[in-house]
Amino acid sequence: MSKDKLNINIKPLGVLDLLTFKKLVPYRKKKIVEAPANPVKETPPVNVLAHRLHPQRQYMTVSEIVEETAAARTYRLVPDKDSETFELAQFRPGQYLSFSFNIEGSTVTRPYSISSSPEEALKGFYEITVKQNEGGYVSNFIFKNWKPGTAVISSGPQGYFYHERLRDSSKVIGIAGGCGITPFRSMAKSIAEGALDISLTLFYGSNTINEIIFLKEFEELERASKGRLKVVHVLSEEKAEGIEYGFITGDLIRKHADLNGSSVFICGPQVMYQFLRKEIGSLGLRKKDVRWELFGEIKNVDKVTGYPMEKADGSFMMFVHMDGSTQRIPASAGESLLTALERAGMNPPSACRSGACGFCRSLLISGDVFIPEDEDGRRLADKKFGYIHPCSSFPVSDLEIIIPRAR
Amino acid sequence: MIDEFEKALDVRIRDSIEEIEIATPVTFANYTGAFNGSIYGYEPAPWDSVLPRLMCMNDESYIKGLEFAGGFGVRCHGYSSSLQSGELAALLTYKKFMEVKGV
Ligand code: FES
Repeated sequence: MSKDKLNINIKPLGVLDLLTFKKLVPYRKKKIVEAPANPVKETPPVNVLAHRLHPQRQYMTVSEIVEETAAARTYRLVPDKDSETFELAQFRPGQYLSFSFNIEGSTVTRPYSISSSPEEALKGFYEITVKQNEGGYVSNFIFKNWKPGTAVISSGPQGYFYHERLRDSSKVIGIAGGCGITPFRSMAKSIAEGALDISLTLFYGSNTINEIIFLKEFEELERASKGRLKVVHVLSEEKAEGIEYGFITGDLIRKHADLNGSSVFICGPQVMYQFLRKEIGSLGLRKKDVRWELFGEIKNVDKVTGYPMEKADGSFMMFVHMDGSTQRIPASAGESLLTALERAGMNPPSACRSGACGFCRSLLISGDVFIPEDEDGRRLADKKFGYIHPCSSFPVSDLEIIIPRAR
Repeated sequence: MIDEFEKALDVRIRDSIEEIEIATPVTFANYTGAFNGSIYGYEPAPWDSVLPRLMCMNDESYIKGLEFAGGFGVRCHGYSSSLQSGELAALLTYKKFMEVKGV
C-alpha cells in the first residue's frame, strides 16, 4: 500500500463543523439575493400530465349525430381547438363525463357515460348516447339544441364503473337496461379492439325490438371479438324470435352465463335496480362481485324506505353561503338540494349527482335533510361533522348550508 | 406488492379485494396541485435544507402571524417533517398569540 494512502488526515471534528454552520446562513442569504426575481412560469411535468389526464373542463363541439332509435341519439364530440382543448383525456371503458348546460338561465349538470372506446378518444373523439325521456329536462334540451357545430363543455372522465383487473374477474356479466347500455358499448368496443382483456356476457333489457339501441352494432362487435362478447337481448313488451321475453331474472342469467367466478356489472334506470336487487340477491354473489353504476338523482324520494312521509309536500327555505355571499332560496321536499340550488340560478359544483363522488360536498349548519341510504356515499368523518352531499340530500326543514368551492 | 405479500405470509388476499385504487404522483398532483405531485415536499438543495431554513426562520417571517406547515416548510420534505412542521407552526402561533396578549 502506498504511503499516500496511509497518510489519512483526520479532521479536527467540531471546529470545522462549526465553521460550516457559521457559513450556512450567509451562504443561504447570498443565494436568495442572487436568485432572479422572475416567477417560475413552467408547469412541472407531473402537473402537466395530471392536467392532461384529469382536465377540469373539456371544451368540445358536436361533429356528428346518429339516430340510434326513435328516442336515442349518439353525439360525436371533438376537441374545440378555439377554446384551447386540443386533445381528449383518456378514460377507462365505463367512465362518464359530467356535462354542464345553461338552460333558461340556470346552470345544470348531467353525467353521461362515454359510449365510445378509449382507442377512439386517442383518434380524437368521444361519443355519448342520449335517450330522450318524457319530461327529461336535460335530454329534451340536448335533442332540441345540439346540432353539428354546437359547443359543449364537460368535466374530465369520472367514475368507478370500470373493470379493474386486480379486483374483478376476467369473466364479466353485464346487465343493462335502456340507456344503461352506453358504458357496455365502450367496454365491448374495447374488447373487440383487443385493449380490454375480458370476456363479457351482456344481458340487455329493452321494451320492444325497435327500442334496442346498437342492435346491429353489437352483432358486429360480437363477431369482431371472437367469442369474447355475447349479447342476450331481453324484451319486456313484445315477443320476437330468438330473443328472450320478460325481465332479466336470476334464472335467465343462470341460463346464459356461468356465474361461478364472474363479476357482475349493472347499469340501468332506477326501476330496473329495484327489481334487480332482489334477483341479484338470490344469486348468492359476494358484494365485491357486483357493481352497480350510479343512476343519478333519486326520483320519487317519498317512495324510499325511511322517508318521513309527513314532510312529503313541504316547501322550505334554504340559506346558502357560497363564493363569499349568502342567498336565501326555496327548496321543495321532493327535490334534491342540488336541484334547488341550480333552479335558483346558482352554480354549485357537482359531477355524479348520485351521492358518490363528493364534488358537491357541503356543510350543513342547521336544519335536517333526508338522505336515501343507497345514495349516502359520505365518509364516516363527514357524517360525524355534518357534511352532506346536496345531490343526494332532500330537505325536511328550513336549512342553512355552506358550499365550498375548491377551484 | 400483492404477490409479495401473498408469498411472504402464505395467504391469498387477491380474491378478497373489494375496492382497489392505485395512486401515483399524478393522482396527488390532480387532487392537491402540489409541485410534481410530491405532497410531502421535494428534496431541497444543500444551501436550502433543514438547518439553514431553521436558522433563518425568524429573519424570514414576513407576515406577522403567518406560519407554514407541510413538506415545503422549514423542516423540509418527508412525512414526519410534514407532521412536525405542523406542530411547530401551531406552537409558534400560540407563542406569538400569547405575546400579543402580553401573557
Ligand atoms: S355530485 Fe357527486 S356526490 Fe354530489
